[in-house]
Amino acid sequence: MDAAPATPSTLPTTPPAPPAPLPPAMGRRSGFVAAALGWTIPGLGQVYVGRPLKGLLMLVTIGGLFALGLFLTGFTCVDPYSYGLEFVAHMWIGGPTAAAYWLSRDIVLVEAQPYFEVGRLYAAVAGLLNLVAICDALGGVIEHNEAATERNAARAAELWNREAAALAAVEESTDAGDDLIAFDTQTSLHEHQAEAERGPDQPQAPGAPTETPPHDPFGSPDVSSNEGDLPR
Amino acid sequence: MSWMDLLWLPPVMVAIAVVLGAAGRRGFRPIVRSIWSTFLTLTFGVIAVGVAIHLVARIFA
Repeated sequence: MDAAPATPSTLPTTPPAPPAPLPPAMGRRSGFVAAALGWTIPGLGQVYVGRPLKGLLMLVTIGGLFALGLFLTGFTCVDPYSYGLEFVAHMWIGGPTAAAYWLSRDIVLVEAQPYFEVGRLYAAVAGLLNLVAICDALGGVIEHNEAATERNAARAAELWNREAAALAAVEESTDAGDDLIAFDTQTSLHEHQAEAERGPDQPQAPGAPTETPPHDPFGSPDVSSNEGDLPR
Repeated sequence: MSWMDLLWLPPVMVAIAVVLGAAGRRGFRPIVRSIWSTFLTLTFGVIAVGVAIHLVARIFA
């Protein structure tokens, strides 16, 4: 009975598993952009930093209160000449204030609104609340950028570890002598180093050794040539 | 003045509670809890201030 041929123990039986995909790098957010977006439309700053539901909550709350105030005043409460102090509060909710001021510039009240003062209060409070929403968006930018820094640092460390592991594997296979491609690459590297030392135009002398000293990554001086100067 | 005249207060209190409660917090449950506690604080604070004003007005009237 013939025995099955023995499999060389050096050959891998299964291919190595591919590494897990790295998480994508996180981009940073600008605080100025977040504040500008939140100032233009309530809640848009929160959407910019990746919190859309919170932005929707801010939009419904602040926008609804501002719209209710406009409705109760007959769309006439946004007027810097008549209500200058309240306009300071309205300024913090820039987009709706500009739109209301532009659209209501020709409206004249012909009869008194029963809840006019309540509407003025609502619109002013909505403007001040949007200031809180802008500050919240800026806090979200800080948190997002901190998370992005940590995640990108972890990603860079993982990339570094993978490259180091790949280099170690290549060196190990080169030492074992079973990786001809790596050996050929190293040989050609030595030839390039020798050519760089003697100059590109000078031909290689016949019989000259192609071996070059191994590259020292730390750039330490060669102490072997000064060996005679050292006291023994 | 009747109690109906105070109906303007709940909408603005709800809006303040929602925005101040949601600001600076992450996650659904922490936000809801913070909104509720802010609303209760506002409600009892407004009631306390109203009662105090009534008492002061009653005393000095």
